[in-house]
Amino acid sequence: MSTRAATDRTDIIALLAATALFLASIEYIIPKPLPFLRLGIANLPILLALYLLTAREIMLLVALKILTQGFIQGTLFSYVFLFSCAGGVTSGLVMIGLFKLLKNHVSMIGISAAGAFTGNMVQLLLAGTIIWGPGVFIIAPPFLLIGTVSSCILGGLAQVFYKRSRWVRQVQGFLQ
Amino acid sequence: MRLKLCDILIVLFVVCVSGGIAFAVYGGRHGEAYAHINSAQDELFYALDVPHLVNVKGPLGTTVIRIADGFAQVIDSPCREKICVKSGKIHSPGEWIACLPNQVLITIEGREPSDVDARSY
Repeated sequence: MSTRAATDRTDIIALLAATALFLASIEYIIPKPLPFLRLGIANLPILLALYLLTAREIMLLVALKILTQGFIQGTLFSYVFLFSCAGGVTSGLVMIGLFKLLKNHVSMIGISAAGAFTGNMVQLLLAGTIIWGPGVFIIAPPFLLIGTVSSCILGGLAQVFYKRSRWVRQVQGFLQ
Repeated sequence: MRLKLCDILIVLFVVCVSGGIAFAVYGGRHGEAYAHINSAQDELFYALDVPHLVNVKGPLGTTVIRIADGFAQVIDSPCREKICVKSGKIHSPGEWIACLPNQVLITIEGREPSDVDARSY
């Protein structure tokens, strides 16, 4: 019984990671108005995972998402990948922390906005520290603006999906 | 779907910090615009009205930047995606071209180069 339950959890992580990989591919083929701007749709499975998985499992999912995203974008073996890692891990931790801390006082919209903001700020600070110096903040406003708007929309989508999805109910049934 | 209190607080916080950064970056400019070129090794300043061909060395090779007629533009770069070349010409303060692979950042700034040491952002 316990082995079966463990397999179920692994299956859910794998399925969510595969969804992240798929969404990262979709993200990659959408033309961007400005370089480096991301919609962040590959984070949708991570938002859902907040409701379904434990903190450690979510961080595993975050790691898988970063890895597959690097694979899709071809940045896996370049130093740009370090930026993805730093942004992804910190935003994952912040989202988990806020979700645990605020529970019913927050929806996916706030969590998503906080995650996007953290990821963007960490990457900007990193670019400022190791490459370009504090002048890097001149490129910050469009990142932060688009990040806030797209993360709120994504958070809203995640919330609606969570409320309506029969698949989510079924998964929650398994995991009980 | 209903917005919760903390959603509003979080979004408000994010918007305030982003707005603050935008204000610090775009606000209070004066003087001639000039190009500020930041690379792995160098920090260079060029007036936009004097023609220059600037070669900047990065980890991948040489990025070639042309400055002429009030515009700055990357005309050649050793990077793979050439986003910096496709970014085209920039001329007004706050505009930028970045090449992450070759670690080159070009920004147009509106203060005199001599003030730069004292900037606050």
